[in-house]
Amino acid sequence: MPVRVGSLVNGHPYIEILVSPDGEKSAKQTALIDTGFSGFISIPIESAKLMGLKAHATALYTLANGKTSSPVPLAHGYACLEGDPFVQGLFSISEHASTVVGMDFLIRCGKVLVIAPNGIVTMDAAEFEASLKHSSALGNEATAKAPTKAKPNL
Amino acid sequence: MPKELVRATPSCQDIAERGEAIYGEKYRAELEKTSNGRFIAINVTNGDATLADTGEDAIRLALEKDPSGFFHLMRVGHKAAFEAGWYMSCAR
Repeated sequence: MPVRVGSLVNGHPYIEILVSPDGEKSAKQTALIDTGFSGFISIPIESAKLMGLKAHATALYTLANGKTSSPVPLAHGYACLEGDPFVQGLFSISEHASTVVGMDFLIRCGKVLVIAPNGIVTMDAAEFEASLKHSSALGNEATAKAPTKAKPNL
Repeated sequence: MPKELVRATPSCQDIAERGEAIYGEKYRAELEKTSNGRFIAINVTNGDATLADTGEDAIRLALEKDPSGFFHLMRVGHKAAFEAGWYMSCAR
């Protein structure tokens, strides 16, 4: 069933997520959805410190202008939408002020994202696939039942 | 404690530079023929590489081999491991 999980703020989509260093203790964060970000979650360094995330690695990013970023620290952590089980992923620890979720988060959570004018809606990817098949089957049935138009006599 | 036993924590810049150099010297030629698009975690302390289909898997498996290692994550055949969206590219 589709669930409303966020809202548009100044035209940007935000959702509420839970983040955790260990899959147990967690904190709620408001996160910007950035579908141009291929990673899991980018979190401000202050939030990472409060969570107790420990960086194990570094990575580079291709920026929107095609240039390559400076190295960014990475840490293992857990995150989910409220009410869902935690999924594990790599947190990028950034100097930006906002938490950002990327495509890897949506994929790992198994969610379809709908950005509507009055809110952000998610639904399970499996449920979405099933509903697509169902509506496609209904469409085929309707086409089969529809009376064929008589050709005009010219 | 003797100075040689103290393991200094390298900076992000040091880890990334070392990782990129090890990849270029030991792995690039072979992996770019066989493993384009996969993720590789380079352990900069011993030069080992861990290859996986996702960045998360590569780092997790690399940490299992060496829990105290420092790793640089790369994507074979790409300039960088990840793509940043507009916010991460432009926001201050």
